[in-house]
Amino acid sequence: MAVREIHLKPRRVRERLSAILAARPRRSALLPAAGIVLGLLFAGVGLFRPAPRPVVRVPAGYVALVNGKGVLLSDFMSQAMAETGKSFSEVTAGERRRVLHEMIDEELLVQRALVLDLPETTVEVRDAMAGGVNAQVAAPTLAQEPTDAQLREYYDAHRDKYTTDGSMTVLDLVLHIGGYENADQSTAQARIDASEAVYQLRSGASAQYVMEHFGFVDSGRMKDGNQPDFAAKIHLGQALYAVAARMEEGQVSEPVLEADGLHVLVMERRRRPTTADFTTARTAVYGDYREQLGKAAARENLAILRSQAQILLAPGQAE
Amino acid sequence: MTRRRLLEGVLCAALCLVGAVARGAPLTDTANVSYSTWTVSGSSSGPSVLLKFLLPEALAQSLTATGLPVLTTRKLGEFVLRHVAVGAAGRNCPAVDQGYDIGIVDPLAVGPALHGFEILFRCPVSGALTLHDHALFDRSAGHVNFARIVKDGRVVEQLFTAAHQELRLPAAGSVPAAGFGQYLRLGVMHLFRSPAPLCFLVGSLLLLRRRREVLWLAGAVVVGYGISLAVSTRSWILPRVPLLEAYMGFLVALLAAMITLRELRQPRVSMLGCPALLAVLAILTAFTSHHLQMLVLAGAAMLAASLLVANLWFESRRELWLVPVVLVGFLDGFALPAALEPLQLPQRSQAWMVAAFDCGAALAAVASMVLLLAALSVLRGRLRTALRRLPASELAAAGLGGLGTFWLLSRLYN
Repeated sequence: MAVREIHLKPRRVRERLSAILAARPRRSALLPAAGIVLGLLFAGVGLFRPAPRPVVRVPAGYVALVNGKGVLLSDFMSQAMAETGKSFSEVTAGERRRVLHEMIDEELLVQRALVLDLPETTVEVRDAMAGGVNAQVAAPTLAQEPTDAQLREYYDAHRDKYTTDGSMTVLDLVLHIGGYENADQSTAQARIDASEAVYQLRSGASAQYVMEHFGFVDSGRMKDGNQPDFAAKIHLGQALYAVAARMEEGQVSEPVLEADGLHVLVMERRRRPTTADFTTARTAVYGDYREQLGKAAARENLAILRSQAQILLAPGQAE
Repeated sequence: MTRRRLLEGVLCAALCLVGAVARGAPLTDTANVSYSTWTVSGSSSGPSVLLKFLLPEALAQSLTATGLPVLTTRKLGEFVLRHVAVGAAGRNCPAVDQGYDIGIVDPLAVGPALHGFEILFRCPVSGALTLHDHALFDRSAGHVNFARIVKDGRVVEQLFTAAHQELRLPAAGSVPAAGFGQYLRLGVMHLFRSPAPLCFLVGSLLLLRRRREVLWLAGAVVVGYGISLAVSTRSWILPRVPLLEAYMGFLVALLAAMITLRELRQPRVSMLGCPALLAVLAILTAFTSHHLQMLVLAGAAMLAASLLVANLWFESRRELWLVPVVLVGFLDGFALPAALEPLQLPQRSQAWMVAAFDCGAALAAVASMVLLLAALSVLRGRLRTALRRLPASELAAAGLGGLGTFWLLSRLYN
């Protein structure tokens, strides 16, 4: 079969090309219409949002809706059981109605409280809310029972917490230097007299005798009789308490020089501070340990909240 | 001088006027509303009225500029107290101190965009009550308070306006609700106080070429409001008001592009310019977190491109320019549903309120266009000389384009 070669002339190619380029598809309204519809759809998504649907049926898992807020079935069951002390299947229809009525009342009051902005305006509500948040963040930690090793470690670190305070009945005698009976008495002379008095006291002389013969008087610092250690520390002062704390019952101290004269302490009665052992203190240690965990969780939570919050202080204010 | 030239001149002047009045005002008047609920209850010692007054944040802020110095919640509450009252037997009922450290006005937590206050009035004598609301009417033109009166377990909707600041409740019997006419009037006033739809409708007269097209235009407006009514009364969707205002601005700019398209020697420049600018803006917005704005811009670009292309391709099919007219009616029809949203009214109550309002707005739109055309024919002879050399159409398009673009951009990222 013979093949015939066709040679196109350059001029005809150019004409055809021009014709192809010049040709336009038949203009259809479909494309602009599609564009308009698509444009409106796109814009519509941005311009409108779904209106909130009115809820007309109580969803599963709820027993009631109060202004759109649900009362959970689980809460209702718990409340009914707590109020009647029965299992939920034993709670009568009347009791259920009463409990639900109370729960709806409570929900209405809570909603009203929020509208009245009580969390912002009422101290009791704020305290309850802050306490609630702290309890919530502490709950996961507190759910784990501490071991004895953890409690003992805490006990060792806070032994002073389980130490009972001691008490003392101490007679504080003071020799005022250069008193009205001997105006020229020096400190050295007074110290000699005081040493002699101490000797007499230790030998069995009565305090009354020493007071009459050496010019000692009761300082009045321990006039209230038996006092706990912390009170004795306040009344005697740092220097005298340090001496008294080391004394045993019946002991007489060496003379101690203070601004008002030379003091001699006579320990009449002494009960030393005692530390409870771990077994005795375990219940208290358990409570303190959990309290510490709760505080740590609250601190941690606050640190997170502060890191996420924007807090501005007025000029001149500090926290 | 042709009749067409005269029309362009007058419309240009009207647009300038609307634009000058509009300035930075809201494009629709949905922000200029407040809400009140008056709960009337009776007791042996006399009736009491618990008033819950809600004020949008934007309106509260505007009070600072109009004379309420350093706006605080307390001052705003005092302002409300000074402007509301309940009367019985010709005397004002005193507002009751609500205990603790609240005082007479109890501020409420009613959401981020609203301020709420509660005031309890206790009347010493029984009888017919008169509710007074004078808040904001003297400071903000066209302000409306949507009131709900709750009495004997029945709820009725009422309106407080500048012309209607008192409401008398009968001692016995039901409280009358605001009538169809009141919402109709509200719709009429709404249109005249909303510069964007008004600008668009006045500007759209520039596209008229034949007398019968006036009917098409009026029909398109009515159809727009009608579709809006059908959709909004179903309570399926609610508008995002700032974006809706931005889109309204876009439609005004699109109208300018359509007017320009007709005048240009190389219409493709106008045909591509407007959509291209919108597309670029949409692409730029896509890189930000404003995804809804990006969607609106992309949709606007597509609509503009399709409409302008279709206008050029099918010059004989002139009804295409009615699409934006329908859209303006449709979008403006959502003004009242948006304003009523905080009240969460039952669907049935809201439906007839919106119907009356949309009827009023549509009537006002059609009437304003007809009146403008009628005025034009009266003034024809007098304006002939003045408008001979004025490039009115170009000026009107430029004004519309500028206003529309300003509204689009200023509302889009607000």
